[in-house]
Amino acid sequence: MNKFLFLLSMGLLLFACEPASFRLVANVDQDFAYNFDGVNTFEDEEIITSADVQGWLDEVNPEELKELTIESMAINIRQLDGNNTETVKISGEAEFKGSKMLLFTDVTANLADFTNLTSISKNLDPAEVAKFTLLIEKFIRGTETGDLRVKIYGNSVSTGKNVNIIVFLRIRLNSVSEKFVEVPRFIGKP
Amino acid sequence: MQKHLPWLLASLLFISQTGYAQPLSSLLGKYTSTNGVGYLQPLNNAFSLNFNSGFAHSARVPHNAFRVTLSLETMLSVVPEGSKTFMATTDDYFTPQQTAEVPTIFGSTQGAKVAGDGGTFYQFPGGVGTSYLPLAIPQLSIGGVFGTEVTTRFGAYDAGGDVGKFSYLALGGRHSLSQYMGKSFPVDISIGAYWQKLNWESELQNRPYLSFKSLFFQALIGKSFGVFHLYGGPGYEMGESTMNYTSSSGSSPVDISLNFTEINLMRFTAGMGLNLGPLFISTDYSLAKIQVWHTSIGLNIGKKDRPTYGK
Repeated sequence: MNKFLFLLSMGLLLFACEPASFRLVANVDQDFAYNFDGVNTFEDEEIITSADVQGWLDEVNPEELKELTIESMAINIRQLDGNNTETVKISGEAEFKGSKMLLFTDVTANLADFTNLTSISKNLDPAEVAKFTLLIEKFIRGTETGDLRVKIYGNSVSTGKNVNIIVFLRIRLNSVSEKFVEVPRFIGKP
Repeated sequence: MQKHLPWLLASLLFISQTGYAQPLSSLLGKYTSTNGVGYLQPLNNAFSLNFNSGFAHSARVPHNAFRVTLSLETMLSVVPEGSKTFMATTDDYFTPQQTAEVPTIFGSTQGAKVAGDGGTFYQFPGGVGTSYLPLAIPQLSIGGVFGTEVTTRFGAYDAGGDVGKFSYLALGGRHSLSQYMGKSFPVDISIGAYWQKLNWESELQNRPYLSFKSLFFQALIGKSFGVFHLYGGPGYEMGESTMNYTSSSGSSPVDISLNFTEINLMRFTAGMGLNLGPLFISTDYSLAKIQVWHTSIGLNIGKKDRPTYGK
C-alpha cells in the first residue's frame, strides 16, 4: 500500500500543474492615408480617438500588457493627376491636448523613388517617439482618453509646384504581454 | 491573430489545457516569414522523431507464430540546449537590419528585443520553456507469419469549425532476416519500413494547417534471454512537413506557409523488453540530433513464440 501511495504521489507530482508566465509579442500595423492637393505646401491630419487605439489591440488584455514599442514607421507616396513636383519635404507630428510630438521632420522624398513603403525610422526623434508610445500605451490601459491628431505636412522643394499626392503612413507597434497559464511542470521555464 | 495553428500546436505538444492554446497563438503572432521556420524547426524535428519511434519492440519476428499485438507507444523527445535558440533576423521596415540569438518555440519564455533607429525596438517572442516533447499513440501489429509482421497506427477526429479534421495513418512492416540463417543462428535480425501521413485541415481554410509525411527504415539486431530481451540498431528517416496558417496581426491577413524538412535522418536505437505472458513492456533510447526515449506497453494475443537459438 505504501508503495502504491508513493507511486501515486510521484505520478501526481509529475503531472501537477503550476503557473508559468509567457511573453507574447504581436505586431499591430496601423495605416493612415493623407490626400494632398495644393500648391507648394501641404497639410492634413487624422484624428484618432483613444477608443480607436484600444481597438488596435483588441486581442490584448490591458492588464497583461507589459510593454508597447514602436517597431517602425514607413511611408509610401503615390502621385496623382496634376502633380508636377518631383521632391517634397515631409514632416509628421502628433498632437494631444495641445502638446505636440514631432515624430519626424523634413524628410526629403524624391517621389519617383516610391513604389513601396519605405522606412523613415532613421528620421524619427527617439524622445518624441517615446512620448508618443507612452501616450498610446495610456490609451490602451485606459488611463488617458481623448483625441490624438496625427498630422503630416510639408512643402515642395521647388517653388510654384502643384502637390497632388497621397502619403501613406504605416506605424508598426509591438505589443508585449505577459500571460500566466497553468501548465505541466516541465513547461514554462524562463 | 491566427486562429488555427494554436489548436494544432497545443495538440502536438499533447497538452490539453484549454488555456494553453491561446498563448501559443500569440507566440506565433510575430513570425510571418523565415524566422517562423527557425522558430518552429525544433518542434518539427522532435515531432518527427517521436512519430518515427516505437514501431518495433524487439528484433525478433516469429517465423510461424501468428499473433496480434496491441500496444500503447509513448515517446519523450529531449530537446537539446542548442535547439532552444536560433539566429533570427529583423524584418520588414525595421532599421538597421540586425541578427540576434533568440528563443525557439522550446526556448526561454522571456523572449528578446533589439534597439533600432529613432527609438524603435524589434521584439522577439519567447518560447514555451520546455526540454521535452511527449507523445502517446496506440498501435496494432499483426504478424508472425513467415517471419513477417505488419504494423499500423491510425486515428481520425473531426471537431468541425475552426479546429477542423485530424487524420493520421501509419503503415509498415518488418521481416526477419535471421530466419534464413538457420536455427542455430545466435541472434535475431529484422528490417522494417514504415510510412506515415498526418493531416490537419478544415473547410474554413483551403490549405491544411499541418501536413506531415515520413518514411522510416530500421534494422534491428537482438537476443532473448528467457523473458528478457535486448535489441538495437540503426534507423533512417526522411520526410517533410508543412504548416499553413493565416496571420492577421497586421492590417491585412497574410497567408503563411512554413515548409520543413527532417534533419534527424540517422538514428541509433538501443533497448530492452520484458515478456510476461501475454503482457509485454519495452523501453528504448534513440540517439539522433535529438534524443528520444520510448516506452511501450501492450498485449500479445496468439501463438506463443520461443527463440530456437542456443538450443
